[in-house]
Formats: sequence, C-alpha cells, structure tokens
Amino acid sequence: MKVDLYEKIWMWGVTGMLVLFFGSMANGALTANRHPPSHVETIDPMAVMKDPRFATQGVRVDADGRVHAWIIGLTFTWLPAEMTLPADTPITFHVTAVDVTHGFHIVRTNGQTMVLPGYISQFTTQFAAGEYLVACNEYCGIGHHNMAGKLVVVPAAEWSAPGSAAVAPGPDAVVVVAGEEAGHEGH
Amino acid sequence: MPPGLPKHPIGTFAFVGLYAVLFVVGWFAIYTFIYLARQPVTP
Repeated sequence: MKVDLYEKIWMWGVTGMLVLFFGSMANGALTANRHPPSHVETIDPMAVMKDPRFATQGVRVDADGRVHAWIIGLTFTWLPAEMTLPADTPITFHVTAVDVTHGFHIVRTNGQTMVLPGYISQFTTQFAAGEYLVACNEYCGIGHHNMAGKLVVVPAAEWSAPGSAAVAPGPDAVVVVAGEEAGHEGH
Repeated sequence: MPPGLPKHPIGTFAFVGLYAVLFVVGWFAIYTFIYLARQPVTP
C-alpha cells in the first residue's frame, strides 16, 4: 500500500506521542509508585451528614497520633472550606461528595483525587508551611469556578490538635462561603 | 510547479519541526521537574 510521505510523517509523529505518553504513565507507575488514589470505601451519599465518619468535618487526630482530614464536597463548596494543618506531617485526607462528581485538588502539590458520591477517596501526603488553595478540578455545575477552599499549614510545633475527642469539631471547622474569602485559581 | 522551487515545503517543515522540538522539551521539563519532583501520595 502506498502511503504518502507526509502521511507517513504524521503517522510516525502520532505514534511517537503515544509511546511518550503511555511510557510516561508506565514509568510513573513502575518507578515512582504513582497510582490513582483509589480507596474502595463506600458511603451512602444520601446520608453523609449523618454518617459518623463525616458527621463532623475537619481535622481529627486518631489514637495513634495520625492526623486525618475529613472533607465533604458539595455544590459549590468544601466542608470545611478552610483547615489548619501541621507542616511536614503525614496527613490522610478522606473526601466524599453528596451530589455530583468533584475533584479535590490542592494546587501546586501532589494532593489530588476525584471525589465521587458513594465513595470515600483517600490519600496521604504532607506539606511545607504555607497557604494552599484547594480547587475543584471536575466541572460540577454553574458555580464550579467558585468552589475553592484553603489549607493553612503551620509549623508542627505551633499546631495544636483540634479538641480531644475523635469527632469533636475543631476550631478550624468553619464553613466559608466559597467566593467570599478563598482564592479563585480554580477552573 | 514552477521550476526552481524545492520539491517539499522545507521552510514549513522547519517551523513545524521547531514547534515539535519545543513541545517535547517543554513536556519533559514539566514531567521531570514538576510532576515527578512532587513525589507520589500514599494511598
């Protein structure tokens, strides 16, 4: 079969790009242990607010001293919209949605996961001190661009665990109406 | 085709080739120095 020279160049270019992109995924998965932050834990999306895991959102410290952040995504805000976290400390995020699919993206960090109604997304990461924008990166409706939150990361020595009970609301469990205070880098 | 013209549009190829090279270099820079540098999260 005769293939025109320009057609060949185009085909080889596309083939090269496919090899590049699939190769980069394989490299990330095999050498850097990068995988989708999947965590098959389910929840009734109609009863998230009553579920003991999410009845109180925000930061909690478990019996082993590990820091957890429990967050709900709903159109068009994160609950809580702002949290204070310790720096250089592994923090496990647990995120779920009550309505539609959202994307929990801590901008300029490796923290990112899809948030699906009915599932609890989970990943663990840590941060240097500073402020971080949390954006929704899955289009979720007309107010999607206002769906933003903030993480305030302070030196671990200056951070105190909110409350003592595992489900007590922390001082940072404050709901800020998205768009009034948070940044707007999300799209 | 008028005589004296090259058989292929060499100048256009040069522009497209330069674009491709810049794309690949930029892509590798972002992949290496941003994506891989951020390290993976722990599931």
